[in-house]
Amino acid sequence: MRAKSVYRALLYCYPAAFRHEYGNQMQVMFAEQLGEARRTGGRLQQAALWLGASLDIFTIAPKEHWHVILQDLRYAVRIMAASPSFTAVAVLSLALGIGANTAIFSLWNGVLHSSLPGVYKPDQLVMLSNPDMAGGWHGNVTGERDYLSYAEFEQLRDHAGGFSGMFASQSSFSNWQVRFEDGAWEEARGRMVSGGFFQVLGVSPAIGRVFTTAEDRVETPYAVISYNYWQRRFGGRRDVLGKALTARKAVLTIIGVAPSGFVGETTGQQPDLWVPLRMQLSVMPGQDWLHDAPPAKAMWLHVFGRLKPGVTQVQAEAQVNAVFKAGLESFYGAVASPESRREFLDQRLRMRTGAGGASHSRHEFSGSLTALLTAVGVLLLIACANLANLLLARGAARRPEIALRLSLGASRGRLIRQLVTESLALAVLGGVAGLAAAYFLHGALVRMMAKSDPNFHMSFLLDPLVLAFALAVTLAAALLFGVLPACQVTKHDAGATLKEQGRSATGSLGRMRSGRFLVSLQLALSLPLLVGAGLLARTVYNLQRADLGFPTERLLLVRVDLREAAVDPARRDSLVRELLGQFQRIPGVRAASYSHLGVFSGGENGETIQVEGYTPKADNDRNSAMDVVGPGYFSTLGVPIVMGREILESDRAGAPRTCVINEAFAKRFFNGRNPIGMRITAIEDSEKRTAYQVVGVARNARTQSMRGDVEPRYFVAEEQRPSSANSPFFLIGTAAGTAPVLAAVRKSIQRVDAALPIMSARSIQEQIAPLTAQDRTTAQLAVVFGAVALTLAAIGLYGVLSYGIARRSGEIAIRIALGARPGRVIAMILRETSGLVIAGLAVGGGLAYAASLLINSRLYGVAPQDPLTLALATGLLVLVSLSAVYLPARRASRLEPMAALRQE
Amino acid sequence: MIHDPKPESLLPLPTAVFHILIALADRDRHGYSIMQDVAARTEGKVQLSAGTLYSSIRRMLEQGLIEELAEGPDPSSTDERRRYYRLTRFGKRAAAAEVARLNALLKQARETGLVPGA
Repeated sequence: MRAKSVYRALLYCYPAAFRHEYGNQMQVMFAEQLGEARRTGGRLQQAALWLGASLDIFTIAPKEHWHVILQDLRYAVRIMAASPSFTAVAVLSLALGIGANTAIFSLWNGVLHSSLPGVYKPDQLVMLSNPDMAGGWHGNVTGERDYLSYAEFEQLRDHAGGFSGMFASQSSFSNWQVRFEDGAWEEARGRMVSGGFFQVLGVSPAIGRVFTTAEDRVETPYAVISYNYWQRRFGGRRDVLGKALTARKAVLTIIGVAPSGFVGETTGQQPDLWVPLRMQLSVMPGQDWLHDAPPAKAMWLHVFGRLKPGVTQVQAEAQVNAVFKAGLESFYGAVASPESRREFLDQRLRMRTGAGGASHSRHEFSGSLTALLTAVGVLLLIACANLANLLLARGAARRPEIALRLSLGASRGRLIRQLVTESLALAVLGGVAGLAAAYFLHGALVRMMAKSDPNFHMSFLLDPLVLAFALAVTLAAALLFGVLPACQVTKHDAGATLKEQGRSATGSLGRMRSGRFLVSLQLALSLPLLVGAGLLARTVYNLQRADLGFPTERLLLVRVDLREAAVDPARRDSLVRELLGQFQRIPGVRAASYSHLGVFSGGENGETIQVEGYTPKADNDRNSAMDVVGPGYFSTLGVPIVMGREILESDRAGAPRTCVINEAFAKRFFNGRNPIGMRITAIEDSEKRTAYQVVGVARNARTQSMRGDVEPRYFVAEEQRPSSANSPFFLIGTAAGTAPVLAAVRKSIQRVDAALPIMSARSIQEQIAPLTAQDRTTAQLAVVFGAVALTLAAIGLYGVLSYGIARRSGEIAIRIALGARPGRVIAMILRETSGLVIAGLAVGGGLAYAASLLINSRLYGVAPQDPLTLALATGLLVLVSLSAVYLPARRASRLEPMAALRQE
Repeated sequence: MIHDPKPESLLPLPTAVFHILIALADRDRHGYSIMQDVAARTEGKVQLSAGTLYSSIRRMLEQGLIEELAEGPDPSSTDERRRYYRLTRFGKRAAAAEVARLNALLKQARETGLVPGA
């Protein structure tokens, strides 16, 4: 008896259909064989029988399963081929849904979560600087450090324990003018790194050699180029080794090529070449960034370390900060008063994991990417709901076939298995097409993102994680849209359905419950997409019409690199004056001036100040943003002076020091008092103070940031400041178009000095465009997603109602025959539909609220719970729903009672 | 069931299938009887397991090599659970084709002197 139940249990390894068909026979046969063995052969023969039965589980049973799968697949293919339009719609919508999800996931993963490619054991890497930041700072800071100076890096490298190696890299990324042997100047993207860069990252060259720590001791004029650059610029030729390349004042020899796939320590950027940090003065002449002159530090480096095995991040952080603190104490020991010393010493390093490397884009794109990933996920859900609806409707058409098979003895499980196989086959087709779609979408997305960050670069990698994601999405989609209809369609007992075929005068609302639920779900999911799209569209509208406080038309921003000239301050100042004079003489130029910060250049300048008659409430109440400007700055920019006068030619060295403040400054520090004639004192340290007299108040203008409130700021005349190495931004106002003036500007710069490099020359509008590019991209995508969601929801609603009304045509015909007017029929159907629309909108409202919180940080000039947007989105959804309902309802109201009843 | 008009397309027949065809040549049998017949004819060298037997039967039914009888040849049989199988004409043709294939192979082996010829 026990043997029998064990064998029966073994039979469960076979497909159900096979078991049902032959299970009993096999049990009988096995029992007889076993009995025979007991009689004749004894234990050995019995054991052989059991062994055979167990072996069958691993040989015969899988074969039988495979047979069923093949059978189902063949059937699925026949079904798909039989309704090509349905198959096309399903595969296409799945391809788009899965493709969009995979593309955005790949980007999201690449930007936010992936480790540095081509790097040995990235988990061991830590960063001592802020991974999200890129740039530099000359002076002093307090609190947590974003960047380190070269001297600090050297101290940490030499004295901090717990690391097997440490390297520093230039945090910013720049375009260099380079030239190979006697060729023409061309652009290349370069980065300076310390000698340990390649060793600590664990990277071996593709050809040649890479830097070693020897590069940190003396200036070695070498360069390592990236694999991509090697292929692109040199066609992968090996004789690239030893080639000379000129970058500014340096003549460098190419000693090696980095391996394929390696991009360095920053994700989203692809340098063409790396140069030792010790070459800084030759590659980036004008200012020494390698040595700190007390009390100012040149902080511009990212520092990475590789932890020794067994050392925790907490231990290493403590060691690093001990070395760092000692360095600060010896640096500031002699220079500062006790009071400022205490302030200077209040600095520390925070250690972060370095596996993902530094990334400017991570910080910049993370919010948008997460929001987009959520949006495409929702879109796929809507598409699945829609497909499930289509399958339900089609399942209804196949009900007779299914009922027949059920009555012929097929089990419900078997039929569900077959129907789900059909969905899986559809989903796999959609998934394969989706991967192709993902490849193209990814490229398009990267190009869109590059509009807001020209250095952004990322290629589509089908790594195991992305592939697993695509597979998981495909399977999830198949289950989502396949299982519910499969269960629903096979639910009703065969007899009832077969009987019902002959008599369906009354509707079967129960059957439609799943369909109605799916439509409600689609409406609920569409609302947050529509609201999000609306909010982002309004954000872009607001950004484009944002009042910056000055007209953005007919204004040029030109920056000339004066760093080489700045070695001699007098030469630099005369160059600025000469260039300004040249620009002012160009025909079509209305006015010209300059400032240190320019407009939306990404820089910032701040000072500790003392304002006459103002008592600071807190420590951070003594700082203000400032800018150093040339004469006529405000009139050139077009910012009105609301009180007093602007900075003029007469505000030169030797004259009383003057400044202009903005309204925000006046409000914050003078608060109703008349600021004209008051003194603002800039405090560099306890010994060095400079006082300026306020001569004017300018209207608030947004020159650095589109978002947030305009900061208090004061403006001083450059000629009244100590000489500076700054390369100013020239502002050139034109009377008409900017294009012809731009050409003339380039010519006049060459006339002054043909060797002067032009860093940038563009209109203010071109300067601002990248700032809102990401918002525009996100909004465009959101609007597209919203439109697709709306269309799908409308199709779903239309489909369910058409189907429902077709099934109820008998009932409706009777109503009409009994005298119901068309209007009443339409009203009845609308009334019945309103429930599901209202339910969908109610749930959707909640989802929309959650969605608005997700994109809150990206909004501009519109509240996340903006009632107008919500009302418009809801209204649109209701309108589209009504039209989707109205068409089938009208058709129902025009039923010919006799024709409809005869058809039954 | 799918009847392939060309029995050659099924060749070579799997050993188990060929044995079942032989077992069904003289009379209709149920599964256990097929198994016993095969074992007897091969002096116990070929012991078909229940899994192998019924997996083969399932395939042979689909291929039209055999058919299941509506009722057993002996209606008075007490065991209702037994199912009987019969060779179809197509099954006979397939068996003949397999025999011809094996004959040709045997002939070649003899002609080339691989094995002593008769």
